[in-house]
Amino acid sequence: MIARQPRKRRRTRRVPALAWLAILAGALLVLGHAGPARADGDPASDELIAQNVFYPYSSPVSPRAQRQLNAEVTTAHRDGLFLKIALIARPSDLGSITALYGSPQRYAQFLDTELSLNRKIPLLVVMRAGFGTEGLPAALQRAVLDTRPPGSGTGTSLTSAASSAVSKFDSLLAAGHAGRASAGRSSGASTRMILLLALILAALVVGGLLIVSRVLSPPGA
Amino acid sequence: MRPRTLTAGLAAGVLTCAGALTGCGSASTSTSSAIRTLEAEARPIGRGPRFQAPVRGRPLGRCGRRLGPREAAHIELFAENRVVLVAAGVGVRGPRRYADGRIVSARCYGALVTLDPTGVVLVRPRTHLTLAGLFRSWGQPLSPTELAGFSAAAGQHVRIYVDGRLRRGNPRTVPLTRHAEIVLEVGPHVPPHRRYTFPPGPSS
Repeated sequence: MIARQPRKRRRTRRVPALAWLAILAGALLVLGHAGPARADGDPASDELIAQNVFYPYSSPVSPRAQRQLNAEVTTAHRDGLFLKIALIARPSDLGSITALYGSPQRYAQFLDTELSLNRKIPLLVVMRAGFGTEGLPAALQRAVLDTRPPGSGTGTSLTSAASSAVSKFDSLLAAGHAGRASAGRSSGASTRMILLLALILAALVVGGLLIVSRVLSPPGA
Repeated sequence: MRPRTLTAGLAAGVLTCAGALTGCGSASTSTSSAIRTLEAEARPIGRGPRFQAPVRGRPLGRCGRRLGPREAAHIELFAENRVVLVAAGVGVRGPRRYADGRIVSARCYGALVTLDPTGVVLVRPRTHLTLAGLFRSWGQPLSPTELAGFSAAAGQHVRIYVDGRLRRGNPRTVPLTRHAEIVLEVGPHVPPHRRYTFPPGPSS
């Protein structure tokens, strides 16, 4: 009886340590990936459900410039690229998510979550800070990188920059050099999630094996 | 290696890797953390006529030929974990002229109108309208247990948030006050926005 007591104490010390490990890893998982949902809040996503281009409310764009960009987007659609564009001139064009102003790539990812429910929609976001893209084929992404960013944050400047990028898309599409659409952020995020789950599972298995080995090992070993 | 040391090493390794994978513990600022939160919180817009119900109602009050001065409120609707769009053209009588999905002119404008599908509702000042008026003019049902084409589960109600705060009672009585951010939900909980940055225009 006296000889068994220390072994029992050791076992009870080790199990809580592993439990804490699982709880902490789970908490990180929850904090990092499964945060609560919070609305959409940005006007662009609501309009882009039915429209191809979101023009900023905060800075007007001439009807002529709008017609030109709309025509270029229609050409892209005709060539199989169902592109949607958000032009964001000021924080008020982002409604409730003004924190994304100045981060066109982040906003492109945000829009992707809102719009790509059943199928990936190629997206181009233009802000004064530059371009953001989602779901574009690699050749078209390269074309965006080669495009001069808007000179200012006015609606006219953003429209002009978008127009430059889309006219390049149209040329590449017409020449058959566009390639396939990229998988986008969602696949990257799910890969990360799988890696994390595998890591946690591996930790729990190793921990379980350690407990089993402790239980089966002879007393005093 | 002793089992205890192994366990400790394993714990540290797992937590470090988990932190790196989730972005915790990186040199992120509070801004980038807020952005990450926003990204994780985005919800898809529902598809189909239930989530994008057309206007079936009539303008409320006098239908004027000019829009005139307006006060704006923002409405967000959620059902089945999806965004429900408030239709453009509520409270507006045709023929209407659109530019890029926004109504730029119409025959007349009622006391409460929507000119685009963004959830911004433009209300004639001093009309003291509530959500009941919006849904009547839209032609969609609203009650403590029904939100547009969606019903709350048995024992549940339509949840109401005004400026981020939960409000008890009948959603029909919620006033459309200037720059109010009103969120209505049925189904899974969606933490509401507290405010909306309104665009320049008749409402600002």
